[in-house]
Amino acid sequence: MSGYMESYRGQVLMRECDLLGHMNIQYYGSRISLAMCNMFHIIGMDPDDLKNGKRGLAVVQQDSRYVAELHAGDIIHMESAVVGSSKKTVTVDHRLYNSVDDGLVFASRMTAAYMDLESRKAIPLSDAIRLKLVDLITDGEDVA
Amino acid sequence: MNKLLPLYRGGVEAWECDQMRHMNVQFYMSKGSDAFAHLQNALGLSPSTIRATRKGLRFKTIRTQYKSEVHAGTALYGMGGIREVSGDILTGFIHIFDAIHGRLSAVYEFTADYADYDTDASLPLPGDIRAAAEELTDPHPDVFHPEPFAGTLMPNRPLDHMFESTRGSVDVWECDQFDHIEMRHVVGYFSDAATHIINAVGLTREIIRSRNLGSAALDYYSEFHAPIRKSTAILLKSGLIGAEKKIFRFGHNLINMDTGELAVTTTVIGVYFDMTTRKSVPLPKEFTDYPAEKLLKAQM
Repeated sequence: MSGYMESYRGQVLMRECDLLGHMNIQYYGSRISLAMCNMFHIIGMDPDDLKNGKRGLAVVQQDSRYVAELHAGDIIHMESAVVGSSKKTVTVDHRLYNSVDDGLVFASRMTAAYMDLESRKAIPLSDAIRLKLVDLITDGEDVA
Repeated sequence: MNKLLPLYRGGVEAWECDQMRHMNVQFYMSKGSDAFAHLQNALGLSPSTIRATRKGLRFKTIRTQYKSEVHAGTALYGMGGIREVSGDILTGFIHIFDAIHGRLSAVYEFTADYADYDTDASLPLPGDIRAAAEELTDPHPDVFHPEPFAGTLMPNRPLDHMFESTRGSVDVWECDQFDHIEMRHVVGYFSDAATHIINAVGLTREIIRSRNLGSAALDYYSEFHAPIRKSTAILLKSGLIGAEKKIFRFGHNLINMDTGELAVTTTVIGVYFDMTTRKSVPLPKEFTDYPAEKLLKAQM
């Protein structure tokens, strides 16, 4: 899918499964967290920049759909794309797939605010990030 | 056909970093295990096949080299492949890269067999898996390949002067869907043992902190001799093999107390480093002053 890039690849652990015998919802979020390590890098926010610049992206809105179950041992990967931005925010679309058949299992669109980590307030995106976003932003596609 | 496979992508979470302010070795192994699951799938051992047959690949040996430390927030990716199929043993590798700095962070070179996950019996490699592995086999001359492990490996037997460095039982949440301990937690026991080794040579965490020192593993070689299952009582015994200039070596024996079997032997090479400059420094004198008669190398 144009504009989407691999942001996570791993597996489902037994301890992540709940009484229903499938991966508990909290661990979908853990995959987004790992995917965002890569998306920060893609949009020009490296760990040193976060640490030294005292800036970060914090999620302010998230819409998720759980499409299929995952079981212990399943192999999965996530593809993500930047699908929008505003003066202070970036919107990223994440899709999690079962790596055996590339079937969609989870989709989540989240908007994150660029944040001053000292004042704890949202601030305008830096010029460097804004420039990166020009090349990255793609039209997100609705998923089934 | 691309025989170098994308096997892992993710990053370093803040809670995966230890008191040395870098990702702890057990979380490298966790990411390596994720990668191994994708490698199995590439060989025809999909998760559903493994669940249905209750058979799959199992590590026999793992050589691990830690090439560069990674810190919270670092994006990582992993590549791997099969180097050789010999008899019923596969030789392969998984390399974890720091995506931010574009450098190799950790190297896993392993051998694996095909095993029954219920009986733990080693089985002949099935024809379809062998064919897939042979199709993927490549010496990968352009991919980093470590030199043979430097020095003698821990023998598969008890040695004198090993001390208790961990005692516990294998918790349910440390196990996979076949009730075997996850590799991450085996490495976690070795990691915990490092602090006991510091203590055994006459150092404390307070002394280490006052000297602004950290320690890091450079090289592990582990051999897996027997399974470790859910709720097994385990004992880890460790000992200093040798300590010279900047390099210390120690050995671990992970013992299944239910059976008395020596389940894992591991040889570790490591260094101390300055926590500010992140550069290796000469070993603390407590290491080099350790009584020669207690060094395991005399028995190896």
